[in-house]
Amino acid sequence: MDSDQAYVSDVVEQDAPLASITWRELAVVGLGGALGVGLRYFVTQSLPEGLQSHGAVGIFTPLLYINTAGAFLLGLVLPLFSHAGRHHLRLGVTTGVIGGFTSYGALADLTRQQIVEHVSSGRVLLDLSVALLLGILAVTFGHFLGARHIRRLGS
Amino acid sequence: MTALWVMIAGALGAMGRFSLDRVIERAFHRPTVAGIVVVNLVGSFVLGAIIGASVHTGGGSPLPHLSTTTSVALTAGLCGGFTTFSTAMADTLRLFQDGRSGQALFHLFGTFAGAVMCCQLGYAFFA
Repeated sequence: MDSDQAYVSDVVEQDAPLASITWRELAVVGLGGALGVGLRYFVTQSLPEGLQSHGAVGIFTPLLYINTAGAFLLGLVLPLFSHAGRHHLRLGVTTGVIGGFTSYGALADLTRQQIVEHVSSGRVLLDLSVALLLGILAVTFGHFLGARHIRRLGS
Repeated sequence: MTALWVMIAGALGAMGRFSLDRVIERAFHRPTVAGIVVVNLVGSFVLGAIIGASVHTGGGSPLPHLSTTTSVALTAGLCGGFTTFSTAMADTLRLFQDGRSGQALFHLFGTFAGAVMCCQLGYAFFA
């Protein structure tokens, strides 16, 4: 766990250089964002009907799979970039592609719809807990695998 | 054609998220999860507003009626690219790993509750 913590701290350091935003940073984030958002749009459009929303507003929509997969991927790649020093590639992949692929607002809107459509509060709480807990489990598992890979490379 | 507009709007959303997050971190003078929290709250409000504006039937919304392409580009593209689930989860993990479990749980559930409220506020105001 100590080494995991070190990796996260390194990532934090690189995440926030606290410098002025450069045009190059904006460009790679924009390019990555276009790819990530485009991929999400493509996935939501092309999933078979059975995997789309099940009738009434529910949590088992393409968004759940997308957000869980994106959280896993981000957890996986953050340790891989922690020592690489590839600032722009890291920004493009993490902030751009993966950040654009997942959507927090859409999940909030899904829950809002459940509430205004008078879905039972127990069901709303269950659905949002599933979505959030799957997300935190996915990012934790991804981070565990990524950090383990880096440790193996180092030893 | 819709896909292209979604991607362009997504690029703008991601750049907006990155910029706002960086500005907030510079204001805090240290790495903070506050940037992405603000991004997700603002993005949820705007998403609610756009959805409200696209469903309204001409009764008093301050926003004009939106075509389907515009609506999808603004919701799935702009707001989807602006808000982020993955970074929010990574931030929660970071708080857990720092031993701040209470803050982590508040970050996880509190931010989401706030985002749902912001979304409804936007919807109610612009529908």
